[in-house]
Amino acid sequence: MYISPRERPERLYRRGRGIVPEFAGTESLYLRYSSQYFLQGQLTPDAIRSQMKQSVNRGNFSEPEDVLFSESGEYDALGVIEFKVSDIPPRVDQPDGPAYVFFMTHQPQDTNYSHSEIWSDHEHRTGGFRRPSRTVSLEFRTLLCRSLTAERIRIEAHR
Amino acid sequence: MPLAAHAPTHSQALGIYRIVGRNDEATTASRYGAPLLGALHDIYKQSAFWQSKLKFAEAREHLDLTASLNEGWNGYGAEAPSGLARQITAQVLGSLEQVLLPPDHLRPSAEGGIGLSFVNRDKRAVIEIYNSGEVAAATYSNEGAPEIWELEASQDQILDTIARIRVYLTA
Repeated sequence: MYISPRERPERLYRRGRGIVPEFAGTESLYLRYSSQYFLQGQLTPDAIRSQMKQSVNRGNFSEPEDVLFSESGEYDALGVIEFKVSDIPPRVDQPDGPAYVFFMTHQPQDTNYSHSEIWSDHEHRTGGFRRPSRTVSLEFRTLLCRSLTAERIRIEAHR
Repeated sequence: MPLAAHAPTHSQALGIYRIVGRNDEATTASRYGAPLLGALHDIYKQSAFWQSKLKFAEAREHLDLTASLNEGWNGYGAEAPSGLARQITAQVLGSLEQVLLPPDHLRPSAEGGIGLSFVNRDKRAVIEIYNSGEVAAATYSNEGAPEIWELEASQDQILDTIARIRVYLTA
């Protein structure tokens, strides 16, 4: 069972570092998860969100356990699952509305430089975040969950 | 003054009795307790009906637990499930129980609401009930495009969705 250190790892501090907008398809992303959301070897879609931006840590600037860092131990005993940027479904169509594209954005925080978010936008880019419809969001999450399997667990959840 | 008396009622038998051993009054019931409990456990484990009832009981327990969640319950800023989402989920559970199709799990959804998940071998399905009262469902596997649809929280549409999920999972 993973217990977070109470002191923040130095690598998490931003320390004036800039945004790195490029994400290679091979870059790892780390997501915190609870064992309650694993069903027969796969994460269920209700464990992640896309109507609001889903936060993850990017692997180029962090280690898997950094997702569980908390000075108060809030995330102790939760787990970490790894997936690749290329696992993110790039586009979801819908019959009666615009297609949506999904992509990574680097959103560094002062105390978590690796913080990143999965964003969506209309097919013809507006340059910002566009909340996908209910059906697009659910389709996106079911597709992403195909990659969120037991083999991708880096730290096993115990709650 | 006439005495009041209840008319005798003849209800169905409440139990089935049989003689066990020599019916020695000195033998306590504990002698028969362990094998009886084992036999009941076997019946319970092998009964699809009772297993289904157990899953519904677990789902309702998890549904009750969602009432105590606060905003940001998952550490990623998720909304707590609303009363409306819980109410519709209870309605969906009732409809599922009518046709003995229990969810494999019921959890609060990171999207804000409640999710019910089903799995049968490599086939999966989900019904999501959102805080706004909207409902969406999906059937999917590791291959091919998922089927996604929205529905209203009416009895007809809930039953249609359940039938669609059952067909998919058992095909």
